[in-house]
Formats: sequence, structure tokens, C-alpha cells
Amino acid sequence: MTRTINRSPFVLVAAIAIIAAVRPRDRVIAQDQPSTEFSALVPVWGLSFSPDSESLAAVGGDRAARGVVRVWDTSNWSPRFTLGCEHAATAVAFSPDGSRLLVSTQSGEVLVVDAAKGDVDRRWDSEQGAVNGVAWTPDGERLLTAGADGTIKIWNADNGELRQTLDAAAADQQAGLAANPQNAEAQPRLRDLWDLAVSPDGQSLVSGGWGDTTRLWNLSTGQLLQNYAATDQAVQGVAFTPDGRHFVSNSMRYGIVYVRETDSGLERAAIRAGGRDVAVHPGGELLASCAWQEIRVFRLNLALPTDDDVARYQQIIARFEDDDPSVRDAASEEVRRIGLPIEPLLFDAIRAPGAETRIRARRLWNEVRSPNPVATLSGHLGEPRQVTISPDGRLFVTASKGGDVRIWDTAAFELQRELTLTLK
Amino acid sequence: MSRCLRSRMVLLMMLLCGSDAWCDDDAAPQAAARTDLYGDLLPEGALARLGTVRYRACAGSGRIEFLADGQTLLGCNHGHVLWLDAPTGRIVLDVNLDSENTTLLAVTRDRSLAAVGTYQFLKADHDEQFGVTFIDTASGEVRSRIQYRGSDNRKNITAACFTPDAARLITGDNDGVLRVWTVATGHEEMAQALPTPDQVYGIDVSADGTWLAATNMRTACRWAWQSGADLQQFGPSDEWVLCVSCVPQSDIAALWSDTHGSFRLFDLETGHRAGLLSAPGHRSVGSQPAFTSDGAQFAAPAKQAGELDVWNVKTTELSRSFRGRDNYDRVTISPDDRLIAAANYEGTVAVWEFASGTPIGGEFFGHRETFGTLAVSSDGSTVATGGNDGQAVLWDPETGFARHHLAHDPDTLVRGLAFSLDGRYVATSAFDDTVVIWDAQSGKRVHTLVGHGELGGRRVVQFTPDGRRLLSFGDDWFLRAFNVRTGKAELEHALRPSGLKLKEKSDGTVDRDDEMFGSLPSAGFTPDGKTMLLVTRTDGYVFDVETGMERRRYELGAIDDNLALSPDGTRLATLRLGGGVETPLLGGGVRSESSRVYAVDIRNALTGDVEHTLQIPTEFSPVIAFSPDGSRLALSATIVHVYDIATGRELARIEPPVRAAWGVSFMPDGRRLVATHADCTAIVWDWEHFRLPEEAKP
Repeated sequence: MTRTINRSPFVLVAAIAIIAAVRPRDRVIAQDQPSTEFSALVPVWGLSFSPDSESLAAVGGDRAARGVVRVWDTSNWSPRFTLGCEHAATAVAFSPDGSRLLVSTQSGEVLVVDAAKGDVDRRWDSEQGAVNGVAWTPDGERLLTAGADGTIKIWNADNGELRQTLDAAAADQQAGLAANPQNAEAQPRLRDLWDLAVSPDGQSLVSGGWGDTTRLWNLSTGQLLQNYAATDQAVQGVAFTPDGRHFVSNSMRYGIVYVRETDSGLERAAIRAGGRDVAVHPGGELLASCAWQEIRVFRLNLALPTDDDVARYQQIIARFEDDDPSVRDAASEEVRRIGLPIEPLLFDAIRAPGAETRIRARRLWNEVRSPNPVATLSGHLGEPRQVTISPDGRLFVTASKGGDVRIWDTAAFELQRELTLTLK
Repeated sequence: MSRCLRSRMVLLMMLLCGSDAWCDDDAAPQAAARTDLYGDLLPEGALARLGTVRYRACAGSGRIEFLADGQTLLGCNHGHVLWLDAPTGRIVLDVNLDSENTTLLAVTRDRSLAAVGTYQFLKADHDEQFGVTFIDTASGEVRSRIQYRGSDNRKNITAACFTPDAARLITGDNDGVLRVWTVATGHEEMAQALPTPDQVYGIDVSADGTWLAATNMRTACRWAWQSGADLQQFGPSDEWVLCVSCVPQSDIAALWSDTHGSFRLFDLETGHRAGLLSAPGHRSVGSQPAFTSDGAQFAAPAKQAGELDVWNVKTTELSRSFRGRDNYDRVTISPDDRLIAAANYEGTVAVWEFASGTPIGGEFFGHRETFGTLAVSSDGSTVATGGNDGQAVLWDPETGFARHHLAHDPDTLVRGLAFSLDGRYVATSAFDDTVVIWDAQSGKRVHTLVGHGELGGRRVVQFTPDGRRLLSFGDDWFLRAFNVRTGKAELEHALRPSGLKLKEKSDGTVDRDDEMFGSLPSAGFTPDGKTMLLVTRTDGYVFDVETGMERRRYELGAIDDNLALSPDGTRLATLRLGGGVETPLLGGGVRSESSRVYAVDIRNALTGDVEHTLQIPTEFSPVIAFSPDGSRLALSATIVHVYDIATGRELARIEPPVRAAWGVSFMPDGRRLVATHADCTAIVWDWEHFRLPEEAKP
């Protein structure tokens, strides 16, 4: 073990970034508005793909100025329509059938928009102050909005009728869970919820909050199952894996993306991925997260070890006590290659009697839970805030506070296109 | 450099500096004076220098500029302006501005005149004096000065540039105010505030002198300063701008470096974007770039250790990188584009040929940043030093020759050092989370062992007297014993001193978030390696190494975190603060100064009982070392003191020309001592040379 855990990802990032040649070339990449004056660009606050991957929606707006919703045709990246709003648009989600768009605004307004023509079908005030996160249930019957007042409201998609309100603070109390220590004396403003994700089976809901934490809910009963106040603070992004077995959340305070099991709520990985939004590839093996300056892409292997694997893993761990340093180091190297599947055995080995085993297991446990990024995507005009992956798995889309939207392919991590978001 | 100018400088140097430490090849040899390995003079009473004083000119400011001759560098260093000869690294002229600090350096286009920012605390008036001194770069003469006080409702100048005609100087200050001064008279012509009252980070005037670009981090502004028009913001408002610079002889008007470490080009006339210069892994540190004379290329320090990037302005591409040994903060290119030089806040200067990238000035040994960790082998044949530059160096204390450089991660700090009793091995403990056992003869790594994390303070390593085990403790609260032969950990104890509430994470480590840094422990092992003494800011603990159990705890009261254990392990020296001094300033704010008197308590290490107390009059918290026989104490804080413990009398006081840093240790003969200094060197002193006269007994 010659390298430290903390430093190696950084070195690898640089190496991979150069190898993968993820190199922004402003002169080569087509821009929809060349040499735009910066003041015309508005921060992007939300991104969503249609289920068929043929449309991409981006919403944004200046906090003080008007908002905008723009939908592009992903075959040629021509805009399908642009819709202006009175206030900054904060979040967007395509309906499961792709026919409608759910948009929320800084003023707390909720809009259901026809995804083909851009007409507003219905709009109403959520009475949540501001809405920062929106989601549909997989059946398309209900809408969810996450509000700045610390509530999640569940609406009828057809008529905009309020069906249920989930209050995060009240649910904490009811479930006897410790409130977020940050939250305890926080101003109401700091309790705002930021992002939502509904599991593919529609049974579970994950919410994250900026001045708050990650919460796991049973969506059918509205019951709070767990909050993660101790580890997750300043959460800006939450997502489910495509099979719904795991969910991820992005803790900005510690710069860590946690991967947890939906059934047990237990932690499987803690990836040093930076702070902002997070997205999981439809294949389930790639995870993208917005760090401070770039988007980091990680490969995930969340499979659990078989009995044969367990026996083999135990043999490897036993070699930690060998007198020959090269045998010990080779065993550590093997553990690194196996990665996440060996994590449960390493956790047990942290309490083993041998000092050398304990030391190596403790380090490697932290190491395998935080894999190195396989790519970093950089070059945005501002802080990258949003990331999403197309449902067909072909494209990453990233967007920044500087108002640019970048399209990358998920195979070679190469920049395909640069779009910008401007007011209508 | 022309021969004429050079000889004039030598003459001036001799006139100005008199018999100062600096000498030149041409100067007459001084037979009596000792010199170091590189031929540079040693101060009186010094026996050897570990390291070199060459290529250091800008400690505390990090600013350098090439002069018109293309081989002299101008730098400023704690109130001095220095002329450094780029091929040899020697200081050829030193002008003392009699100010506490030099804050900035700007030169005219023809590099004949320099503006140096100065700061001085006026103790009697409870006020601060800010200023700019204009200096003729050929003669070193002071031409004129701008001076004002904090109570004048103006703040410290943080950025400055000359107009192309050299008639005016434009400055930016701590409050985000831009001022235009007449160079000849020092008269203020006009002032203009930026939209936010934050410190001005960068300022530059366009080639034709019409536009001025300035940034105070949050906002970048362009200003047609002669037209009387208002200033205008440019660039996206959510980006932090670290520097602005106008491209010479080019139609592209300004360039700035953002928080992402990329450079962006702007047209100053319109405020529109003209291009982006960015490459993955190449991040600017955000300091002012240096342009080639035609303005086609510029160089800027990159965030990677020791790299300078050269960018092509037209193609917006990275054309090449220079690889050096340090992290650099500033860069300058000679007017003939022949040489490029880089410097950092530690004061280190490096020079390359610009076209070929060949380093100039040869290889110098030693540390590149100040250091404070010292260990001496038991026979006194080797001194080991551990630095903030990620390496430990093994020195011959007789000659100052660096036998081996023991390299950890270059960005890390080496904090624990120990020789085995037979001198065969040396162990280092560093902030790259490793403990390494090295072969002291060959300088090769023997074992790389687990360390104590990447954060924190104290690290201790010690070999057991039989040489079989290495003991290691750090502020992650783990005490470990390694087998020196196999490198395998034989013991690991998570120490949990009574009365300290340490929150444990699921992997058994201490959650540092909830831990106050003030309670970081210092520690020492007794020579037999069976007992560890651990000291927090309030308590002392005695731990058994084999079992990891706490044997005893005693109260110390509030102490400073420096401590020393006597060589026989029976006595402990701890330090008490004398209390800080805060002076309210007339111009607003408070100036804090450390205390004047420290008390050193010599205690029984096992019981904590105080046996002696020494009063040490010193400005900064000193580091402490016992003499080999345990009868004397050396303390180092800007100056080095030697005290006799039994009588409490000061025996010697060494006042070095360069202030002492945070490391002091006696050599085994008890006559010599090694102290580290702020110029990244250590000096082996004959302390008897500085013996104070015995006071007459009453």
C-alpha cells in the first residue's frame, strides 16, 4: 500500500481525463448561439428526458428575473418550443408516457405542459412557497412536488387536486427519528426540500433537502421509513437505480454520494463524488455526479457476493497476516480489483484480532466503497448543477449555473454538443 | 546583463550592504569567514548550513519581475527589495525599505521603474501605514513614495499596474476602491469604487491605455478610466474571477482566470466573450499570467506540483508545460523572451530557458519550504530534517551535504522522524497517511506502513532500543507497533484517554468533524519504548504501549501544544502562554499580537509534578529541546535561546540574520545545536560562541 486512499482518485482522474481526451474544444463544437453575450444566459435548474429519449427539456431562470422552459429534439438538437414563465423555473419532469411536462417555479406555481406543442394545460399554486423538485409516479396518475416549506405534496395528475401532504419535520417526530442537527434551530428557509425520486415500482420515495437531509418514504402509505441526518447534509440530488433495489443521494456538506439498499436502508457505498446533482445510468452500472467544477462518472458493481465468492474472499483476507510484505500487498491489490462486492467481508475484518488485518481491512473498506471516477466531464461556463442520463443510456446531459447544456456520449465520454439556455 | 550595469550593481551592493552576508564572485575572498557548500557566507557562530540560500528572493510576497537586461530578477521580501542574478541565483543588490512587509510589485513596460507596496504597523499611534515606493530598477534609488494611513479611511493596496506611459500608477485596495496616482508627485488623481467592497485581486491596463480591467473576485469590471464614464461589469456574474490581464499587442483585450482554473478571453470594448482556454487537468492557480513580448503566448502556474503552462492566445490551446520542483504562485518572462522565472510565497525562485525548457542554475539540494521536524542519529553523524515539501533529507552535519532525499508524496508534510539506535534505519511519518522505514545508508524505502491520516498535527515515531519494533502514534489516536523486519503491524490500540469524548465512526476511526483541533494530542515515547506520554491542552496521560491501557492521568492546566521529553524519558517540558495583546487601530479593526512571555514547566513525566519553571521572554511560541544530558534546554522562536534548567539562567542567545523557524535540536556532543530557519535551511550552530557573560552574584 504505497498510495493513500484520498489521493489516488485525484491522480486517476487526471490520468483518465487525459487518456479519454474529454477535451472541450470551443472552436470545433457547434453552438446554437455562437459568441453569445453572457448576460443573456440563465442558470439551468432542471433537466429531463422524455421516456423515448427523443426530447430533452431544460428549465431555468435568474432568481430575480423570468424563467424559461425549452425542449429540444434530440435527433438534430433543434428546439421544439420555448416557453417563458413569470418566475424562474426550478424543476422539470416528463410524464411516464412522454405526453406532458411537469414544471415548477420559484413562486411555488406548478405547470402541466403539453410536451409536443408547449401549451400550458393546467397551472396552480402549490402553496409551498417555492417548489424545487418534481416527480411523477410510474403510473402517471400522481404528481409530487417538494417545497421550500419542508413538505412534499402529492397531486392528482388529471385535475391538480391535492391528495396528500407529507411534512418532513412532523414525520421525523412521529417516527421518533432524530431531526437533522443542522435543522433543529434552522430557519424555515433552510428546511427546504430540493429533490425527489420515485422508485420504478412506485412503492418508495426518496427526498433530499438543501438545508436538510435524505429521507426514505413508503409512498403508498406516506410513512417515513428513515432519515439520514447524521451523514447526509445539504442534499441536492437523489435517484433510484433502474431496478429500484438501491437509491443514491448526494451530501453536499461532505461531498459524498451514498448508495443504499431500498429494502433495508443500509449503506453500500460512499463515493467521494462532490456535491450537487446525481444520476444513475439505465443499465445501473454508471453513476454521474456534479462536483464543484466538473461532472464525475463512476462505475458501480452492486451485486452481492455468492457463497463461493465469500469463501474466496475470506482466503484473500487471510493473506493480510502473511509475513511477506509482497503477499500482503498482493492481497490488498486483489481486494481493490474485486471492489464493492467484497465490502461486507471487509467490514467484518475491521474487528478481526490481527492488527495488520484490521489496518488493511479498514483502509480497503473505505477504498472500495469509494471507487475512483472512470471519467470527468469538464469545461462548463459555470458551476455544473444538473446531470441526467438519457433513458436509452446513450447520452449524459449536464448543465451549469452559467447557462450552458452539454451533451456527452456515455461510451467514450466525449462532448457531442453544446447548447445554451436563454430567456424567451 | 551588460558588464557595465553588473559592475555598477556590485559596487552599489557593497556600498549599501557593507559587510552583509551576500558576496559575489568578483568580490575579494574573505579568508576567515566560513562558507557553506555552495560558497555562500555563513553567519558568525555557524558551522554548517543544511540547504542553500540561492534562488530565494520573494518570501512573503511571491512576486518577481524580470528587468530590462533579461537576466536580473526583481523580488520583494519582508520589507526588502532584492535584485537576483538569474544564472547564479545570487542576490546582487538588497534595498531595505524599512517596512514590516512588502505587499506587491509592479514594473513599467520598459521595466525601468518599479512600484513596491509597503505596510507598516505604527505602534505608538495605533495605526497602520500603507504605501507604494517607486524605485529606479537600475540604481536601486527610491524615486518617490505614496504614503497614507489606515485612519485616512483608505485601506491596504492589494493590486497595482502602471499605465503604458509610466506616468500613472493605478491601484486597487482591500475595500475594492481603484485609485489613479501621478507617479512623479505621488498625488491621487481620482478614485472609483467597484460595485462590491471586496479586496481587489487583479488590475491591468489595455495596451493603448484606454481601458482598465479589474477584479475583486466577485465582480470583474472594465473602465474607460480617462473618459469619465462609469465602470461596467463583464463576464457572467456567478463566476469568481481570480485575475485579469490585458493582452499586449493584440486585438483581444482581456483575459481572466475563473474558479475553474480556465482562462477566458474578452473584448474590452464590447464586454463580449472571445474565447476559452481550458484543458483537463491543467488548472491555473489564478495568478497574473506573464506574456511573451509579442503577446502571442502567456505562461501561468498550474495547480499540479511544479508546472507552468504556456498557452497560445490565438489558437486558445495549451502549447507546452514546464516542469519544476515546487508549486509556483507567480511567473515572469524576460523582455527578450529568453528566460522564464517562477516564484512562490515561500520565496523560492526557479528559472528556465523559455524556448528549450532547460532549467537554469543547476540543482540545489535540500528543502524547498520551511520545515521544523528534526532528528539526529545517536552518533551525531547524520541529521534528518522533515519538511512541508513532502520529503525528509539526511544531511552530513559537518559539511551540509545532503546525502539522501527521502521522498513522500510531494504535496504532503513530513511530521515524525526517528533514527534507530544503531543508525541503520530512519522512520518518517507524514500527512500522506504513511509511515515509512528507510535504510539510512542507501536512502531506500524498506517498508511503507499505514500512517495516521491526512489531517491534524502531531506525529511521533520511535524505534524500540532492541531495534525490533517501530512505534507510531498520531492524531487519529491509533498507537501501532510494527515489526521492523517484516513491516507487519503487531499491535494496534485505539487510545481513548479518560475525560475526552471521541466520537467513533463505524470503521472504528475517530470522527474528526466533531473533534476540536485544540485537543489534538502531542506525544512522546520513553527510551525503553514501553510507555507513551500523551499531552492534550489540559491533561497529561501515561499509556502502556503493550496493552494500550491508560496508567495515569494528571492535570496540566491550560498549556500550549509544544512539548519536549528529556532524553532519559523522565522529564517533560511543557509551555504556558503569557496571553495575547490586541491593539485597536485608528483606521478600524484590531491588530493581534502573540504574547511576550512564555513559561516553560519542567515536570516529572510520570506524575506531572513541576520541578522547575523558566520564564522565556519571546514574541512567538517557541519549540523546545533538551540537551543530551538533560541539563539544558534550547528554545527556538525567531531567535534561539539556551537555558540551564537547574539555575533557570539563560546561557546563550543566537540572533540569526534570518529568523529561526520551528525546529531545534542539540547534537549528541551537546556543544552544537541545529536550528531550522525561515529561508528553508537549517544551520548547525556552535552555541558556546554566543555564551552570555555570567551575571555577578549578588
